[in-house]
Amino acid sequence: MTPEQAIDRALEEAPRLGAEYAEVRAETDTSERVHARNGDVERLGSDTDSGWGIHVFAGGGWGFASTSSVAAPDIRDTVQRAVEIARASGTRHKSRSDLEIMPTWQGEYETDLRQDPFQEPLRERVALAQETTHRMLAAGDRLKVATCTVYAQRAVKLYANTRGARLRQRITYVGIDLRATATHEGYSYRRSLDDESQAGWEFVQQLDLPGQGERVGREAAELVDAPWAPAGPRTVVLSSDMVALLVHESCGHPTELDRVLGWEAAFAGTSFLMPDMLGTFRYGSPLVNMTADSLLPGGLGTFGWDEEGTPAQRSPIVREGIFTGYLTSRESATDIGQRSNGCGRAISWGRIPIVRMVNLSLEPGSGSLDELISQVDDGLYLETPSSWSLDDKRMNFHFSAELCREIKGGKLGELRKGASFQGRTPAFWGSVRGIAGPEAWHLWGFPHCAKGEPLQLCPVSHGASPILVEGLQMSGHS
Amino acid sequence: MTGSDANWGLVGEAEAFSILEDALRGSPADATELVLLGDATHVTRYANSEIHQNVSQVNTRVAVRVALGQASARVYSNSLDVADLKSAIADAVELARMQSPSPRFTGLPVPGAGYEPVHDPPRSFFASTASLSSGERAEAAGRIIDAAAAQGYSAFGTYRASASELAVVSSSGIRAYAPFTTAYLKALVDGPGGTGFSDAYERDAGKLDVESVARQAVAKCRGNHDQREIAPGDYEAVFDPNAVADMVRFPAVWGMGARQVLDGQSFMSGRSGERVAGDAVSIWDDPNDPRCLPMPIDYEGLPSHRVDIISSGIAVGPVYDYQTAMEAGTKSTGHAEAPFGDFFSGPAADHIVMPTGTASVEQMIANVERGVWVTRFHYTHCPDPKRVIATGTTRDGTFLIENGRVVGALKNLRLEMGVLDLLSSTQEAGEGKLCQDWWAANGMSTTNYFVPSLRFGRCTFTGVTTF
Repeated sequence: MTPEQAIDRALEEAPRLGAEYAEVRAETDTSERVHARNGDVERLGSDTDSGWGIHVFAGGGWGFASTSSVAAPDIRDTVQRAVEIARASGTRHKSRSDLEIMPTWQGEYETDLRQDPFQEPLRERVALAQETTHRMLAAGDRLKVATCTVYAQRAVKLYANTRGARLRQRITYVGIDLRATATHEGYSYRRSLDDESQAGWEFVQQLDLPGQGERVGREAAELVDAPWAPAGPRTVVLSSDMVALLVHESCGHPTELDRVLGWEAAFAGTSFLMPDMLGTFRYGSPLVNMTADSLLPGGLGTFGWDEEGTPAQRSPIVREGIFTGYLTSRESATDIGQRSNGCGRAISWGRIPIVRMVNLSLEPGSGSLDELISQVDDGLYLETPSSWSLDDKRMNFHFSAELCREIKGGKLGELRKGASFQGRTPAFWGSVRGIAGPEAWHLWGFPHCAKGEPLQLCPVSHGASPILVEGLQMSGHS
Repeated sequence: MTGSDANWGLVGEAEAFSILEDALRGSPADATELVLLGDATHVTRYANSEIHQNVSQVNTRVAVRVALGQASARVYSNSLDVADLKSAIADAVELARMQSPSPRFTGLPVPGAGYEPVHDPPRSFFASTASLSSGERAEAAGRIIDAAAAQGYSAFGTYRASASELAVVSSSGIRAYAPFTTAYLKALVDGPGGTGFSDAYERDAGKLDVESVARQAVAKCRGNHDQREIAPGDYEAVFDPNAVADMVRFPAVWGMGARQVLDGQSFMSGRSGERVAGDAVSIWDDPNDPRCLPMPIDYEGLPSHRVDIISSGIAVGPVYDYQTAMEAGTKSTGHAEAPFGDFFSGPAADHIVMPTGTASVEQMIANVERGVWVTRFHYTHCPDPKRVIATGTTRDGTFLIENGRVVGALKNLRLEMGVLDLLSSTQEAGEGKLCQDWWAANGMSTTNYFVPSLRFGRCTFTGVTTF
C-alpha cells in the first residue's frame, strides 16, 4: 500500500472507530551524510525513514498513534490505538477544541532549488569533505581533530483530514558542519562553522568549504593558547551567528505560546512574556524589530503549510522594541482568542505538531560590521556561540563565544579565548545601540532546535546582522 | 522476552535474528553488520491539570554497516522487509566503493573483542512497562492532578513508557539480542508562590510510586514561596540527586569516553593514574548494576562491562567501543554508542554510579551553617569541556539553609564552576536515586545515573534570576 492509500484507508477507518475528527500525516525522510575526520571518511551513509500517524479527537480528548507499517491490519490497529488514547485523554481533558477551524484546502509546495543535492556525484561530496579537513589540518601540529560533515535531507510530507484537506510538500535541506580542535600544553579548544539552508547543492558550493576550513583550523590553533577573555561590563559587538542564537533562545523560545500557556512547563519551561504584555512591554531598544516569516527563501522554517495545515505567513513579534506577537499553533492560538500564525510543526510522521519557531529574524539596521566596530573605543568582538544556558522563563541567560577579539580605538585587536557573558533578556535587548545593515545580514540554519516529548529536533532559521551592545557583563576565566 | 511472545510493537528475538540473518546471507561486502533497534514509545503529557498531549509511536530502525577492506559505509532503513535490507546492504557496498580506505578503520567487532558477559545479568525488560495502557497512564496522571488540586495547585508532567529491543548480527560472528523497557513519570506542581518537582524512573513501571512522586512535588511546591534574593558568591550546598546528575553529566559526556581521551579533549587525557579530583570523588560506569537501568550489551553487540573512571580522585580509565579499544590496544568495554542519529561522539558512559551514604537530605541540611539547597537545574551547559566548567540555573525549589534548617525559598540562581572542583568539595553523601540529567530526561541524551544527594563545602553561584 502506498502512503497515499494508507492515508485514505486511515481516514475511512477513523469515523467508523469513533473519531469525531481525524488528520493523517505520512512522511518519507531521506538523507545522505558524509563525515570526514582528519582526511579520512569516518562516516558515509544514507538514511530512509517512512511512516504515518493519525491524530484524532474522540471522547472529548486528543490521541495520536503512528507506525512505520502500511499493512492494512496495522492501519486499523493504529487508528484504533489513536481513538483509545484520545478517549483516555478525554478522562482528564476540559479545554475546548474548535473543530470548525480545521483546514479544508488542497495544494502542493516544493523547495526552490537549482542543483538537486541527491544528484550531485557522491565522490565529489566525499572529496570535498576530505579536502576541507586537510585544509584545516594545515594549521599545524596543534590541530588534533578536524572534521567536516556535508549532508542533504529531503522530506516528502502528505497531509489529509476528514474535512477534505489534502496537502503535499517536498522539502530539501543541505548543510555543513566544520569542527577544528586544537590542543596545546594540556588544554584543548574548538572552533567551528555550521550552517544549513533549504536549498540545493548550490548553497554548499558558494560556501568555499576548503577556504572556510583553512580559516577555522587556523583560528583554533591560535585560540588554544590565546589569553583568557576579560571579566566585567564591556561594550561588545556580537557577530551575526552569535546574534542569531540570541534571537533563538531569548526571543524565539519565550514567544512560543505553548510555553506561555504552561504546556511545556515540565520540560522546556515557560516564559516571562505574558499575554497582558502584548503591545506594551518594552522588550528591547527602539532599534529592535523581530519577525517570524515562514515565506523566507532558504529558511529551514519555510514551507507551504505547517503540519496542522495552516498556510505559511509573516508575523511581527517585536516592533521598535515593543513585544507584539507570539508564535502560535491551532489550539494555542484559540486559547488567547487568536488564529494560528502557522507555527504548528512536527519533525516526522511519528510526532504531533507543537508550537515551533519558523524563520525568526532580527531585522537589519544600517551600515557594516566595520562601522559598528569603529564606534567602539574599548570593547570586545564575539563570534560563534560555544555554549548557551537559560532559565526556564528565558529571562536569565549565559552564553559563551568561540572567538573573542579585543576592540581598541575602533579596530579589532588581539585574540582572546573563553569569552562568556550573562544577562537578562529585556536588559540585553534594551542595551542594543547599533544593528548592521542588510549587507551584513545572514540567515543561519539551526537544524536541531529541541523541544517536545517525545523529543522533536526541529529545523529553524534565524537571520541577523551584527549588533553593538553596551554594558554586557562578561564572566571571565572561572 | 523471546520471539515466541513478541508483541507490544516489538519484533522479538527469534524473528529479529531470522530477518537479519536472511538479509546478511550473500552480502558482497568483506564484512557486514546489521543493528536493529525496535521501539514502541507511549507518552502522556499533562499541563494545567489536564491531559493535553497523548501519543504513541512504533518504529523499527536497522543500521547496515559494511566494510570493503578499510573502507566502510552505512545505510539506515526502517523497513524490515528482507529484500529491502539486502538492497540496503548493496547500497552500502556502493557507498563504500566510492571512498578511499581509512587507515584508522580497524574492522568490525568480533566475538571476544570485549569482556565476558556477566553471569545472570539483571533484567532489562519488564512486561509491566511494555503493556502499560493509555488508560493506566491517564489514571496515574489523574492521581497526581488530584493530589495537586487537593492543595489548590495545578499539575504538569509526563508519563512515558517504552518497550525496545536491540539486535546485532554480523558476518564476523556477532549475534546478540536484548530487550529493554523504561518508564518515566514526572510531576511539576504549580502553586501561588512557586513550583515543586519530583520524578521517578525505572525499567519496571510496577515500581513507580505515583503517590510518592505526587507527594514530593506538592511538598516542594508548598515550601517554595516568597523567594528572596541572595548575592552571587560561594556557598555551602546540598544537592538532590537530580541536581548531582546535572553536574556529573559534563565529565561523563565530555570526558569519560575513549574518543575524547584519545583526542586530547577529556579532563583525563594524558592523566591516567593521576589525581584529577579530591579523595571524595569516585565515579564508575556499570551497565550491569540493577540500580542503574541495566543493559547487558552495547550497540556493537558486545557485553557491557563495569569500568572504574575516577577512583578516590584518581583517573583510572575511559569506556571503550571496538574502534577506540583497537586504537588504544585494549578490549572494548561494551560502550558503543547507538549508530543512529546525526551526532557521533564515540563510546559513552551511560550508566554512571557513585558511592552512596545513608543520610537523608534533611540530615545533610542539618550539617550546613549557611548554604543553599538545590533540588534541580534547568538547561545546563558546559562552556569549557576540557576544564569541565558547568553552568545552569536552578528551578522548581531552591532554598536557603541557615544554622542547619531551611529558612525560606530563594530566587533561582546561576551556578558556574568546575564540576571536579564542586565534587572535590563533597563532605557527605546521602541516599541514592536512579535519575537522568535534564538533557537525558528530556530525550536529548542517554546518560543514566545512580547517584546520591551530596553536601558540598563550596558551590559558586554567579548570577540570580528574577523569580
